Amino acid sequence: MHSHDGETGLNPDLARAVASLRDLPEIDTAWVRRVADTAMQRRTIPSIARRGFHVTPLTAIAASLVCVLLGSGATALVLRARVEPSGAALAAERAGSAHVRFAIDAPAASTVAIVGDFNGWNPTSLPLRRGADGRTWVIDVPLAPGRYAYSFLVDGKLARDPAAPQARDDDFGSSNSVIMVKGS
Amino acid sequence: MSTTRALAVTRRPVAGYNEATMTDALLVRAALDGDSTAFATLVQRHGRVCLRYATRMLGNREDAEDATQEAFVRAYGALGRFDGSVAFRTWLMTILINRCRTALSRRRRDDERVDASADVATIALASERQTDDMALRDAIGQALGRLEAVQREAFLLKHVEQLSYEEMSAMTGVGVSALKMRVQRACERLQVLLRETDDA
Repeated sequence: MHSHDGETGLNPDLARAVASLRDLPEIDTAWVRRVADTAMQRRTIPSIARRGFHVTPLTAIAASLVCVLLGSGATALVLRARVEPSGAALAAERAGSAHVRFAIDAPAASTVAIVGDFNGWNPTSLPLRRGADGRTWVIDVPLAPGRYAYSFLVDGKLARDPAAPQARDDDFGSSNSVIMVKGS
Repeated sequence: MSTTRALAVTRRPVAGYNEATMTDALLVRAALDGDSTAFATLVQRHGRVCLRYATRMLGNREDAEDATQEAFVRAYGALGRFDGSVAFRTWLMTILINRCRTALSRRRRDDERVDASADVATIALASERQTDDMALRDAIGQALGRLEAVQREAFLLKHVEQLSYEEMSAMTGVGVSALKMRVQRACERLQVLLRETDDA
């Protein structure tokens, strides 16, 4: 009859053997970089490659035409968004020539911050302040013209901007919010 | 109106992300935005645990690296569907478990059993161990390789990754009672195999 380790339920010999399996293998930076790069490069390729599709010249021409048409449509949409950025009326209203105001209604929150590609998704660099009404949190962020993905961080939890048009990345289905800042 | 603060606005962190403040959920958001540094940080953060599981499961480092890389590739492709309802590591491990199953099913035509001992010996350890511990590690590695794959999977998740049965069930799609049975049988079998090693 074996006694058992109280924590794992294993007998002592097996518990000691299993503990040796918990050592973590080393990985080097090159491996990490290679895995990340491979993931990013292969994101849209594998389904086609795996199925062995062949691209004929006619198919390539047709695909090019489709791309041109889709590109034109996308450009039109972007231009429209740039002309009418106020779709995110509450979320982002110009508060000066180089500043964008972000605001969110979060009366029960203790802390609110904004994270995005404009601050390296740093959760501490852009905290919002509670407004005079006690429920709206506000920050003015200086942004150069361009497209920015962002999200609010309400009590540490990511929250989409309810007033911003949601980013719908065609491959990812991203749920970041997006704002276009046009030049003055 | 309050005064606007002078804010340092940069598109990307210059020296990588702050490990202490950047949660996995934030890194996922940044990666969704096409930030390769953010995804590399996730690989750095979770790669070792993934490699540990895959190595024990598949029996050699090379296959483990392939399975782990494939898991990250698939995770990246599905990143937009990660909704944060479970921890990123849980979500990633679910993908990895499936990649390991696929790798084993490919191999099964030849032989489902794997020799985990060779690989166990090649894993670089964080600290120096005694010769006895090396022998013990080899022995458990060999014994693991002689378990049925479903038992090995359940045992590793329970006793090496130290997950709860509920977490294991969510990851594997196997019921809790079935998992408990597999772990119990794996333990019994491992004890027999280790005794055989001692006697040899």
